[in-house]
Amino acid sequence: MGRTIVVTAGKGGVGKTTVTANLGALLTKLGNKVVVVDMDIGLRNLDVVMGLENRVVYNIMDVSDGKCKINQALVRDKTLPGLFLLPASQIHTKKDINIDKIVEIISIIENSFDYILLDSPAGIEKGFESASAPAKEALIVVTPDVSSVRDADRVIGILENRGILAISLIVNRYDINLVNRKKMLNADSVVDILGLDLIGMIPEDKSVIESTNKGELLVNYANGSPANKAFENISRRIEGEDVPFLNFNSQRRGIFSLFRRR
Amino acid sequence: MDKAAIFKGSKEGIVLLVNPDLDFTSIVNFLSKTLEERKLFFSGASLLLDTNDRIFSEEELKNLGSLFQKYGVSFRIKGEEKIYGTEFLNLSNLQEEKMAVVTHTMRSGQSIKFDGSVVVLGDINEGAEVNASKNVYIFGIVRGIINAGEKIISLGFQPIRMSIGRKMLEVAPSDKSYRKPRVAELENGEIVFKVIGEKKSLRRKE
Repeated sequence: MGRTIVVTAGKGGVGKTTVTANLGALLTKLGNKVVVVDMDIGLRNLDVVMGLENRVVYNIMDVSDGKCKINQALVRDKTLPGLFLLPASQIHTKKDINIDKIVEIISIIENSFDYILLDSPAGIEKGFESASAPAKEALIVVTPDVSSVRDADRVIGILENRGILAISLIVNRYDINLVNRKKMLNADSVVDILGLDLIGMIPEDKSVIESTNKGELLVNYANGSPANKAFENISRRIEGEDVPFLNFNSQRRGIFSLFRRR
Repeated sequence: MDKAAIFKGSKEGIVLLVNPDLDFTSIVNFLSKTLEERKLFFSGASLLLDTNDRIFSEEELKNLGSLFQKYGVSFRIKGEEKIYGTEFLNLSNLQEEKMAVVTHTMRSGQSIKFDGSVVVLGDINEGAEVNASKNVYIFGIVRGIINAGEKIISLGFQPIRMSIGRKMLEVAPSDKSYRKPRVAELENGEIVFKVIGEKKSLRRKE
């Protein structure tokens, strides 16, 4: 029986899709069979981020409408044989979603995969509802800014009301230089406000945007990058390993930073 | 019985047995002497007064009350409900209050409106709202909107908007010191924050 985890945030643009794709990849690397499901019906992106847009034939709405079998809609990743994508439909809108059907589809998938990561759309409307309905656990992605934290708080409240109580927090795009100069919310205050278990911090890293635009997963594009290291740690923590947090402060800085006033 | 009064421990706490044959002044004298001698022991105590069928007049009870209040002691006459001396937040009072209990952190978008008191076991985050006609007790930090009729007691205050009665809060406690348990209540028509356990009032300086 697989673990179904919804990756959500409330606010848009915080990195839900990137986190879903890369976490899926790293969980696969650890020997799991993983399916990432794009629940952003009408605004699908996960296929592009993973570079699988040419291989999409059917999608989750086709499955829901009974036009194809689940196996026909699953797209195998280019490089990782244990990673699958269940794409969203681009021609439907969120109004067309039948939540009961989605829950049913996911519960069937659960039998043959170790992890089902649901990439939720932004917002708290029907799209979010259908993404969180099948989930038993949730990962909240926040960027360290007030609007993201506030939206996350709202989403957490809704999830808790639905009975999803296993909720962990990922702080994304964490820029230690800005934090040190007190220009960015630090991770401690985010955790303090939201009162959740912090499962990982992903540093601001150019290679994330580069890999996303190239349609490649971070493991393949920049294996040694700090962001990939952070994703790897998160996936190991999800697996139950006790991994210490990265110390961003110890990153190598240029010689000029010695003279920069803090 | 030659002493004016005897302290005895019992299931109901400390019982004060009064000698019914002695006059009121000698009882008071004896009690004030004992209380003075064992100030630390009695401070914060709540006694049960067993009068041995002696009836105290209103005036006498008032005198006893003010004597006990000096030492931070409260007492109740056996078989009666009324409490004299120092007033504590006692449970029998709490139970009379109509209460709604929220057993989780209140997050953005969640709200509660209740005719009575509200207890929140968690924080009140930004975007959450609590309306209570009486008191609000928060076992966490207030960051949201809170409107109470009488009193707000919290482990920390950082509210966006807060009102007690009809009075809106103008200036919240400073950012640095928000993590302190405080009672917010009206004093001369102004909202004051009193740090629990400290006697200083945090009245805003004009």
